[in-house]
Amino acid sequence: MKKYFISALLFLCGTLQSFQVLSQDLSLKTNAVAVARELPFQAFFKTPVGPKGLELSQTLLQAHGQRVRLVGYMVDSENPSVGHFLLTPRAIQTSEHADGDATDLPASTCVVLLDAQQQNWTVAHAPGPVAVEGVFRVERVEYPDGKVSWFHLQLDADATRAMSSQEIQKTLTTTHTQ
Amino acid sequence: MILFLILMKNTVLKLTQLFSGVMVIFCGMGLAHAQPKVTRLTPPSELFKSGKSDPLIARFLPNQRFDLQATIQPDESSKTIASAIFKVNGQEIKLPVALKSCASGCLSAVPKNSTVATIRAFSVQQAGVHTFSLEAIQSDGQSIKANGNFEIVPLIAGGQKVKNIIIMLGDGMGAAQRTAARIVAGGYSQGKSISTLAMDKFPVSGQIKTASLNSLITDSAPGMSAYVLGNKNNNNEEGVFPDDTTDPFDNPRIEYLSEYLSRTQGKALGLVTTADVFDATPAANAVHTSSRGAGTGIVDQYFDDRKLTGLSVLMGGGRKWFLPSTVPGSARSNLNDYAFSNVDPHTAEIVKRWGASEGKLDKDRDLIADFQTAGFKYAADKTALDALDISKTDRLLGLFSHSNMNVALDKMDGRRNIEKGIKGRVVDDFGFPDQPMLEEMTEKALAVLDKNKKGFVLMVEGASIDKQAHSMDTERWILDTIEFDRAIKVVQDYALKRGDTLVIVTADHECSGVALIGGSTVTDARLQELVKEGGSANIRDKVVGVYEKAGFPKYVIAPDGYPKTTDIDYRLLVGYGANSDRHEDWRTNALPLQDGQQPFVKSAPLSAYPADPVARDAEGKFMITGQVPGTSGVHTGTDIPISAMGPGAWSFTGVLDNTDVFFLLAQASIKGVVPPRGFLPAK
Repeated sequence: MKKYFISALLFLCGTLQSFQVLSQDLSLKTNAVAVARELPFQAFFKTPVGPKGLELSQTLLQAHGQRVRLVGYMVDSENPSVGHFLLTPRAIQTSEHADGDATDLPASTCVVLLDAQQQNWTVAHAPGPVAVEGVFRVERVEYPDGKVSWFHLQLDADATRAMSSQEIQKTLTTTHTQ
Repeated sequence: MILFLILMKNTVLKLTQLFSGVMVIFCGMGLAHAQPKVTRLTPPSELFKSGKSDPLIARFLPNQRFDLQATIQPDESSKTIASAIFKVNGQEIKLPVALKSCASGCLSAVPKNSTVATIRAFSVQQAGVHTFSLEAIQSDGQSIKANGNFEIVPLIAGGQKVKNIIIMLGDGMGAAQRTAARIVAGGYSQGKSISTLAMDKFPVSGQIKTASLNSLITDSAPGMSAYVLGNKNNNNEEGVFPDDTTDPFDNPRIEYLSEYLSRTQGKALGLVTTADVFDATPAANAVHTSSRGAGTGIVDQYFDDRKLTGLSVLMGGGRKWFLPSTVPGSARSNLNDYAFSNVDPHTAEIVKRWGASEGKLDKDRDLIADFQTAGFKYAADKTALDALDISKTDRLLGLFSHSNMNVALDKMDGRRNIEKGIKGRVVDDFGFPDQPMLEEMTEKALAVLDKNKKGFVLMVEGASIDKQAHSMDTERWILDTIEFDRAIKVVQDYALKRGDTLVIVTADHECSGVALIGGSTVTDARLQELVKEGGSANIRDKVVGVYEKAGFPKYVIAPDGYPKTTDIDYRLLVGYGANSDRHEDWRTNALPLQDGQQPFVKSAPLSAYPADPVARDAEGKFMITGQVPGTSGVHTGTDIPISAMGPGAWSFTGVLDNTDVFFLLAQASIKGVVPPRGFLPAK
């Protein structure tokens, strides 16, 4: 019981620390590359929305396959994603316990993909805005749980590689057993 | 020697007894192991669970349809279940029993050789408590039996029959939410409320117990469905009992009030919400699924089974589920859609016995077009809603945002041209600047439904009372409660004019443990100064007035019905008993904490948007430690109020189970109004 408590404390401390460092590090990494174009979430669609579907803007379509810098919020969910995290234009927390499986994400949600070598990593949630940089794709992708994403950003491998094991938990399970 | 022999004899005897005992236990274990068993029997009953006949868990109306189901587990992996029958009161039910093998499609904990046996759309006319049983034969000839019970609730010949039923559902609206809205909208003077809410004027009130089938703390799906099924559902499930399969659309069904009254009386159904229409509360009136998040299947079922439910009006947000998957922003996916087999009787019988649509995995479906082809008029904004010619509108679909609609405070700021968004009004940030208020939607819904000569069931949901209470965004849920009350006023006026309409106002559960703790002892200007100074010594000790120091906060109401500002001097103060960690400064949050379901916001400067309740109001450094983990307030298990008006209203008194409401509504509609319980003449 005591060991479990200490483990939980370590996990909590590690998580809290990672919140701070992750946010800074992502910004630092992305700031280091100057060639990326800024892609604001507000430029994704034409507004106001028409009576039916959404119309993708030219700015967005031109960003497809390009290196972009995107500033937004990491989605804070009770069930953290592995190998990726979600970035949205507004601060969002999903309350699965209250809302069941209801998806609570905006259409402009961008899936930020970790490097292929980091597919079993879970990035701890960072409050406040974060800047991410990588290759952007506009493509409808359906995930195994039925969620649909239209926008993806592939992070560089070194965007997260330099972080210590305390800053990124490989998996929550691994962290619990430390 | 004799003594020795006696001792030896006793010892041998004891050893023999011990050996025998061990053998008995061993054999007993062996026998227990050698028995196939029924691991689930549906409808759920205390009789099956514990062997006790009370409390009665499942109750139905005479001829209300429901499915019977059992999961049967053979004693060895090499064996299977050869046959199964269901009996009621000892008599075999002569309906097809569908046997589904768990070789695939069952939960991982269920052995692969288990079988799920189901009879679809069963019903019983005879009132009273009935025993039902499942009898199955294993492949080696062994038999297994399990018993359960359910009640058919009698309907009594009464007086006037109610033509229309209106359920006003304030999601998460407990007593405190109602009181707060009354104080803000109506004001108090010398202990008396100056003007009351519309819901305060309802002549009858009672109290509702809200627990779901599997938890003291319900979520919105079983919270709503209990009122229109007469039965408890599990959390996250609507219109179904739990089962052991993975398909979220094949669960044992229970007939909804809408389906029952559409089938027996030809009544229409209207659903109006400020949430995404696929959300739990509206869906728990018409859709049968164990996954409240299965959006594609849920909205498809609204349309596909509209002839079962009588669905004629559907309004709210949620356009993303109606767009073909090829349209950007569409959330449609085959993975959360439904399609029943026409070969496997397990689901084929749903189509055959219930008359339900077989569904189709059709993510590319244009559901708005399908609604329009079926005669629904479509409104995409308030302007289009206002422009509807009701004389030519028999059915109505309104989808006013991509997912959840904006909350009342932000919609009203939009109408007042108050610019709190990043670049302009919050509704502009979301991309939907022309959204109707709930009372405007309600008015149109009534106008359309009123055309059905056989009457209707209408459910109107104030959805974001709950959603904003989760965020502990006080002013936003208060204004949403006021918006909800304005919709109540619309139905109240309608019902008063007609005299044949029963209206109830209630919630599905309380949210966040809201408590009105007092009033501010300072002006708003002084409050802002104290926030800058920060800390509990300033923001709590110098601000929170309790008892006589609370006074009577006075909000000024604009001609549009909402407070001119919520940042008044000596304001109402609200605390939360089911809260997460949060900072508090008592002032109105300029921007909604979050709404993850909207596609358009301005991103710069993003730091203007608070991340969560801890990040919000952090300037004041008044941190309130939460009693629950995470960053949201949570639903509570506290009883909630119910108010009623119209014929049959007097039945809604006392402390009721949420499932009781269903039977009271049905009684008034089917057999007519009767005196409340306790006032009935003795038999």
